[in-house]
Amino acid sequence: MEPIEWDDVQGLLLSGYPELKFSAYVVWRFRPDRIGAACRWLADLAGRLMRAAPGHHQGAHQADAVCRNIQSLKAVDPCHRHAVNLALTADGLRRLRLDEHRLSEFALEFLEGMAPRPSAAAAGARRSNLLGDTGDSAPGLWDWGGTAGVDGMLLLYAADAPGLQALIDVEVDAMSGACEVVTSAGRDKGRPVIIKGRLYDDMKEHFGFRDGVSQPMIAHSPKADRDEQRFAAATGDTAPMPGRRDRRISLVKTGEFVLGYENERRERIRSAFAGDNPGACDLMRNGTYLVFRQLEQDVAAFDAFAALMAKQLYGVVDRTTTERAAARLIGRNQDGDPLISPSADSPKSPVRNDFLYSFEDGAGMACPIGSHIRRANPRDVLGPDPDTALRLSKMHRIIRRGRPYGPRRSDDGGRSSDGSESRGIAFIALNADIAGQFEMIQNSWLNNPSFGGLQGCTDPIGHVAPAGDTFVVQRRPSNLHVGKPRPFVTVRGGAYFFLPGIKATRVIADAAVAADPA
Amino acid sequence: MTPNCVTIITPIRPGREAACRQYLRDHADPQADRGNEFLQCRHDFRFDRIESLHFCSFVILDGMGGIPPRLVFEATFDGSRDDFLDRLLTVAPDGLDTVYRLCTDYPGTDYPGSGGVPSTLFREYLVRHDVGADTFFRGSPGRTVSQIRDEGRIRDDLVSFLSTRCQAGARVPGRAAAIHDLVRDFIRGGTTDRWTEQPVRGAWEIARRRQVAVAAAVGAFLVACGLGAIFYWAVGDGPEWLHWDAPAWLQVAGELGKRISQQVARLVPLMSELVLMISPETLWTLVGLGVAWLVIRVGELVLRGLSRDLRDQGLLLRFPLQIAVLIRYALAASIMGAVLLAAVSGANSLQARHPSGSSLTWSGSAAVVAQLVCLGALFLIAWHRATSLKLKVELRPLGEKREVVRRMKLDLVQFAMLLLLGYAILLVALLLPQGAVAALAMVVRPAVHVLFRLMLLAVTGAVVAYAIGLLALSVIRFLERRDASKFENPAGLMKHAHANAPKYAREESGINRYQNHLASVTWVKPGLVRRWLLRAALFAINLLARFWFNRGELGGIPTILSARWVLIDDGRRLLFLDNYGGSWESYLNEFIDLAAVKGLNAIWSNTFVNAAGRSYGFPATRFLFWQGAQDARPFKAYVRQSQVETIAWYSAYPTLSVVNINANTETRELLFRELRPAAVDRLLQGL
Repeated sequence: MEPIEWDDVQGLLLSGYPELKFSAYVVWRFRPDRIGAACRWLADLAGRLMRAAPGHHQGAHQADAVCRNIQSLKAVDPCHRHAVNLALTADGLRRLRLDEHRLSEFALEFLEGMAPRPSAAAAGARRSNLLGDTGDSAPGLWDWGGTAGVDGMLLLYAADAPGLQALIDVEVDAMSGACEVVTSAGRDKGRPVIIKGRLYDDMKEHFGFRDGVSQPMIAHSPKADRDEQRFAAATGDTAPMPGRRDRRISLVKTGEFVLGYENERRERIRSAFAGDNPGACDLMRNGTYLVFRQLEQDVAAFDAFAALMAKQLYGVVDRTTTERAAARLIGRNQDGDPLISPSADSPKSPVRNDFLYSFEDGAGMACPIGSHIRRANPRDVLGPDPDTALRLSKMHRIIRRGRPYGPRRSDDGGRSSDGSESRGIAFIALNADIAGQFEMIQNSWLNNPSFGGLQGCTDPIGHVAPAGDTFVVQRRPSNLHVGKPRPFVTVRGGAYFFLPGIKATRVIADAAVAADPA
Repeated sequence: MTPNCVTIITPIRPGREAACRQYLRDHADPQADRGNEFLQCRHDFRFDRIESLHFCSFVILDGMGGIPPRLVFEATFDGSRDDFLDRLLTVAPDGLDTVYRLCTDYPGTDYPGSGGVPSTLFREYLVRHDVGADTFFRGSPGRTVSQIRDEGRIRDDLVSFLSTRCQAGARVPGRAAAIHDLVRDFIRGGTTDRWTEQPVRGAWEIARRRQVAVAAAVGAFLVACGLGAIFYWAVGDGPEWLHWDAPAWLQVAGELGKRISQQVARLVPLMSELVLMISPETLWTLVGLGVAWLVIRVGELVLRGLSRDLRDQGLLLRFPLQIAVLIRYALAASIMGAVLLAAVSGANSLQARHPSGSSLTWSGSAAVVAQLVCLGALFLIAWHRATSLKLKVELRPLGEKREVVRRMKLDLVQFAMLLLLGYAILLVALLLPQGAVAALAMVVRPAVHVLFRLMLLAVTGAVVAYAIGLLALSVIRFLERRDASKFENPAGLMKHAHANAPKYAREESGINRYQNHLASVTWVKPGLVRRWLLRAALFAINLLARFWFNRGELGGIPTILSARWVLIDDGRRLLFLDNYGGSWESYLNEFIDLAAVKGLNAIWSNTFVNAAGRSYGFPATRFLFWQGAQDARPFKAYVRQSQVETIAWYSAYPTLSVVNINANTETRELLFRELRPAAVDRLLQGL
């Protein structure tokens, strides 16, 4: 087993930076004809990027203090903690004069982008239909990423609000010679697109649910290795070990999230060009694809729907029943505990994630078949054989690094229920194969009206709602069908990015300089 | 269930394919309505007026390699072909006339002006160009369009009825049977749904699926016997020991058992007691066979343990393993046969000690009965043990080592149960009067001997078949290695991804939101072996599709609505037309990850595609079935390269999935059947 070069991978892959609660996503594009400045900025930025592990082979040109990584973050004084990560779109790579041959090795969906222009024949672009970006969520209505070009994104993280603002100022200033911040094309036309994410202490998003509970455990990540050593030390193949089951469910091969390593199908995604030309850097290695979607949430409509469901389920509408009904939509309760009841040897972790559906709740009596978490990660429930289903579902996992943006409804006293200020989630997914992971989950599971044998039901908190869309609660004696009139979520922007490795970032910058000596 | 499909392939006049494509696009392709929920047929092609039509599509194959461009019209329908074509010609006479005027040898060119060609001539033209299908699969076979739609409506009616009836606070009967009655009364009460009560008249292949499988197994057994017989005949004048009263291998086993028993007897005195009960010969044979069984079983587990995952096993491991399993089963049957022979031999020692009469002494009988009771108790304990071992992994799989141990334990228990059963048979024989034993012997002895012989033939035949298979696979392996140098690596196709994108722009959009169409053309690799391999694969999959995979899934894939494979142009090209549910990406993943990948490899590894002047082979397979499409990314690039644009596509129920259709049929079937409460629960929860 070859070692994973974590020191060349951007930190976001291994950590959502829970200690850096304030974040900003700066969407930018290159200024025309400033390629030289762009390369200098990129090469400089490469040294500042947050890494997933401390480097062992830093070049001489790199001052030791500048090398940032997740571990060193804890050593820094809390108010000076910050992290910077960089993601580029296919347009950005093109602007950096990456030659067409090397560019063509990237995945087609990345090259096309999240919202490609529709061809003449079709009503909408195939990808938009695939993602369900139609109606109110159509790319033409987006604030950014739809019609106007986006070249890249800076992901900035800081421990407090002033620190974040300072970081934004510094970074925007640093790139001002080469790039400009994209401005909104939709509402608030002309406002720079800097989305401010916020991680709250209770980890809850705007609908009131704890987010980011279930993440795949990346094989050979420091955490997975630690776990493995712990198991080996505790031994006993026989001793019932809390977490062993969790590991069986969540451990996913590195190649599903980092390019260049073996994935669940035992393939490696890597550049054939670099393979044929010794000495050429594989630009894809240690990188991954980053899916960013700005999803606006209509909290009032969601609450109203939960109340309607509570009325039909329990006959009484109060806080408890509404929350219980809402939990049915998600599949976990507000604190993140799954609706599947715990087994005897569940670990005593704060939020349980070691459950399967097939034997525990095959009919969906506890956790409805159409609920959000059962759709987004069906675990062992799709298909006749649970083991096979679990194995296959591991080919379609994503790492989520999203954070809510906008004020909480409770914080502003419900003032903005008229929509004057929008709130939602800055959704970030990391995966090695957008078509096989993010798009597959979105299209075949979340948006699929026939998911799990249902008929005419899509994800309860998805952004699509075809005519006659319903939510079904499995119960005795017969199921409850609740019509969902319209989606509670609208896509406001988004793009497919590439999260390059540190070395690759430098090589891209150098190559662009070489292509443009002036 | 005769495959009700047509695949009409007509050559297009030189230079007219662009006109043909444009006309079909503008006049034949149904459009989506605003909500993308229904498709709206065009005026010239009112496919929706053909009540029997499930799916149809138009595809144009570009001319290449000296083959002129061709127009393909594909349809899946109910009833006879002539009825369908008549209906088609009534519904779309002008549109079809315009289209086929662009094709060669169309009779209509002799009938210019209004009125056009007589429909009998037109029909005859279409029939002449119909190539049918070499392999045909339907996700919901035997169901008519109206049945699928009506059953969908029944389900919707039930849902809305139950929703209003079971609101919070409403009085709902508690017992499952009462709710079942409630639902039935609702259906009976309506005027339009009473037909539901009639039983579903499905195709006989579905109803007789199990019997067909049993017949196939018996057939395979007979074929193996035949092969074995041929083998012995070819080896010489046939094995003399086949004609002996007690087969030689039983004697060999007896010899072996004798030695083991003598060793054991020295250590365990109880053994000699046992020998007193049943004849030593029988015991020795049993011991010999039992030891052989155990040795083979341990060997099997060792072989199995060599690879971490069963999926990783190479051919060299698989074949011995499968042969070992066969021999193990044969040994188990031999043990029972030997026991039966011993039981009717009349040489049991108890009887030998009482030569005077048929009856044992009372005390002897009592002892035997007591033993039988003990055996029964032991059997029950073993049964309990086996069941608990089986259940152990139901909820939670064990680690690898513990799993092997568990399996070994389970085997031992089951083997012990077999031995107990054998011993019980011997004891029962003791109790029987000698006359009866003699009478039984008349029947049992020849039967067991026939069984022994057949088994020997079958095992030999199976080994011979494996040898032949190995030989065939070696030839295939040789071809595969040669192909690696003859064709380019399909990984190179990935860079054509962008160029191929326009071909499938319609996928997952508009009317294709829930169902999609895939048309693919590949060249068949040259050479007689490849051609026959492909034909054999298509034939085998056609049989499987018709008789085994007729419950909505093909090799585990639950999303295919209707698919066909056709060899065209004298077997030079393979055309694949497929209506499937969901998106292309997830559909292809199912193909790659489920059992279907074997069939997929067996078919398409015989093909190649051309791109930019080069020939790219199918992703390299190993021994025909393995690897191949499991190289997911090259495989997907290969499919995209082989894909042909679907110009017009129609579905009679564009929002339903195969699972939905089959679930609706099941709901309707169960409604008027007597059900247990648990089944009623399942029925209602499925809605």
